[in-house]
Amino acid sequence: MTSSEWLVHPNRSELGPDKPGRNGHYRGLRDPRVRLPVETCEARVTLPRKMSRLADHDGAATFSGASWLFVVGAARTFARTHTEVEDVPPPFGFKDGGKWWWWDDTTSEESILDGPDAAGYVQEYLERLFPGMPITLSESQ
Amino acid sequence: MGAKTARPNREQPVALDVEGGVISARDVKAARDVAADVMTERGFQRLANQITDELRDEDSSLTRAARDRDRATPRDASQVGSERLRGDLPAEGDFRRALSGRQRKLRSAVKNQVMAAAPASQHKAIRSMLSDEDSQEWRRINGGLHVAAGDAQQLGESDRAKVQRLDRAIQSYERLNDRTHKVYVAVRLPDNHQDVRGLRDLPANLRPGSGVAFDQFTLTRHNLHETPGHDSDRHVVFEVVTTRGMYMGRSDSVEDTTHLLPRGMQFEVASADYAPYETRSGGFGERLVLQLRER
Repeated sequence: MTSSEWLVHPNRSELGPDKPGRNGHYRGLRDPRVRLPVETCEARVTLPRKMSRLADHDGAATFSGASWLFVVGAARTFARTHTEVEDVPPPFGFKDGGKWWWWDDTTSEESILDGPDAAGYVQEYLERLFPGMPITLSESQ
Repeated sequence: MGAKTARPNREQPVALDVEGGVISARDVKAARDVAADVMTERGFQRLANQITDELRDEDSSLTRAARDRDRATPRDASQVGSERLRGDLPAEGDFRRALSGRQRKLRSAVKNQVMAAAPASQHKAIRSMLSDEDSQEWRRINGGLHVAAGDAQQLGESDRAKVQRLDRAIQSYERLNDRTHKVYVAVRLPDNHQDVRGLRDLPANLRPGSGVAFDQFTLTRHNLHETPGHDSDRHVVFEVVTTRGMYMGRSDSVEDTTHLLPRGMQFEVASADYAPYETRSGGFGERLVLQLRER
């Protein structure tokens, strides 16, 4: 008996059309506890005319979430997918080994997004993602 | 003009069901959306199954083996005694490292123990369901479990027996396992679903607080970068922390951290975050993950 007998063939989890029997398929449950997400942080980026098909009716792309980390994550995904920025900066930041590591190779013990300058850091990052495009940030409690 | 009508063309509210099923709205028929009422019906079926299983467990006239055979969904055999080895969902911004060689070896050792003690019938079930190149049986039986809301008693005799052999192999692993697992699986968004730029862009039934049921067996990976679909923005990746399931990966230099989750699991979407993770090359990537907490 060798361990190779209990290995899974890769085709069991290959990507494909969603239908019963495909790996990863789930069933949504209607639940009274579902709540509309609270989005307290928002960034609006006015897109150039050539990207108007990706914009809202006011010509901007809006990224919003419950935290600035969500907003910059969504914005970076959009930039990577839809813009021609050759050198998309690395992810904004992460926590590892008790320390925060930031996209500009700096580190900190506490998250810079918990401080009073959070919006400024986000603005600087978004300007790298969307060079030359007007950016407006807003935050509600 | 001005008279009110019943607006017969108005679309009925729909909820996304990636498992696919009844199509209820003209404009979204490409997506696998099912009417919320239909999902509720199956939700009730699951609830009825759970109640029946609990009542059966109280029937002392049957042996435990007989009670297990007649259960709709498998019994949870997992336990983690050590607080140190009990994990929780990562906090926002936490780096998701790849599974270390030591962790892979520990899990492989338990798997090898289970494998060595397993009867021939379980070896046969693992081979035909998971290892053989032909995946038809896996898809057919998993599809049947979906239709039956995870209830193996609704399957034919042969399929039910095979499902329960797989259940028992998983339970053997769960009894020996002493730690939690953090695993990932991706599902594809319908082609016509918009990009996720905000929490409100998530499919309505994947918003935080929603419930999801995995009626089928589910193959996950411990490493996010190894999960099929992790590099696609058209996929949603679920992050699950659980004591359930069986490690099916390897411990050698071949990268394989496959983990099999049992059928009949229910979760609540705890949060939606952008998760930084270790890539195959040792660098770091980032993607949207939906964290699922067991119910």
